[in-house]
Amino acid sequence: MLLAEVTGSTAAIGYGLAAIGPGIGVGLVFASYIQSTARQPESSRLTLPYVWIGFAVVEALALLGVAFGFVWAGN
Amino acid sequence: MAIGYLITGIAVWGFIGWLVDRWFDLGGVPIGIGAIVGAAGGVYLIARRLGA
Amino acid sequence: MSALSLGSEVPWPPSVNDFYLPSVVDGAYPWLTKVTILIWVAAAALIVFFLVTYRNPQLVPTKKQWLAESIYGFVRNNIAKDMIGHDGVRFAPYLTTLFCFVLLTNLFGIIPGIQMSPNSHIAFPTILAVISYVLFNYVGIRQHGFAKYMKASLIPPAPWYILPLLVPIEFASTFLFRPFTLAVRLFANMFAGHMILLVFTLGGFVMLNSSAWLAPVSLVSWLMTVALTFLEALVVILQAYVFTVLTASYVQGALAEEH
Repeated sequence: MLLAEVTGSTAAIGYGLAAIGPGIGVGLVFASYIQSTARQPESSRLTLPYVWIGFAVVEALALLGVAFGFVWAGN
Repeated sequence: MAIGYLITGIAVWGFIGWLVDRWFDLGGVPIGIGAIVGAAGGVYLIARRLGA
Repeated sequence: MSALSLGSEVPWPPSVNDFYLPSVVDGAYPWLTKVTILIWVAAAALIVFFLVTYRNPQLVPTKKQWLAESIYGFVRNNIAKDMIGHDGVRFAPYLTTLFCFVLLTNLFGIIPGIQMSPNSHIAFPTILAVISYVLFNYVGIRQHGFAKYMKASLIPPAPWYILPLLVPIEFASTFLFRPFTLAVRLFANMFAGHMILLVFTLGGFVMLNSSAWLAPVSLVSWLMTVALTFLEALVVILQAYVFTVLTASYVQGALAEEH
């Protein structure tokens, strides 16, 4: 029984779902940075390296999602 | 700048993976491995250049 | 009424073909189109402007001299010196030329009556990016020597066993993607800006023609065109600035002792 049919690329839907996680993650990284800087302004230089490392790790997931969406779009 | 390293890493190693895939015809798996390896390299470079 | 008769043959929707303007003189395509003429006009205008304003410099500057000096001073102090450091003064003339040329050719995209930026054709940003690319590599090689420059730009500080993983990434990001992103960023901004103005201008005519209900909305569309032209003015200046700053930062990276 056919309940609903989806035409076009389901990879786009998949990427939309996959981007939720990194979206929240990047938001958390920078939210925490802003909050910690507001609480302790002198620590902004100290925490910035960790912001970039954390941002890179999280953002890599979103970019992998783009890549995999193209790689396996056909199958 | 940070994003640049990630995109470059995924693109370069994904491309190398694509070449391997074309050569041995493995159904796209090497591209995925290449992309993950490239992302790891990009994260490492960012940690080194922007991090501590 | 004239708007109506003009509107009956509105080319809709706007497409890439709208960027390929016909030749001004028959048979001279692509050497004498509006775009190529604008490039010559921009070059001539800049040469004449700086020659006239700097020919007879006064201690108390005249208005024109003040304008030229503040453009040069802005690029020299706020871009060259800030990005490159004390050495940057050497590159200030090139950076100023680059900034003025990109700014003027970008401005052609929003000046009423011209409204076509040569930078919305990928060829012109490409040449500008290639010049910057050759410049920063040449400067780096002359400063450090070829082997040391390559070592500094390709080999990140890392243990030897991950270097095979990292060197291709460094190579691609420094020598392949830098000129590419430099050219594409400028091109895409100018292309998209022209496209947006086309959509709202032509869209106004299309709505004017479609039905009595939609005809008043065309006024909104044209008002949007005016508003977006001001937004474009911002983008135009920002992109000229970004292009110059990135060129300066690449030169700085090539000159730096240790990356």
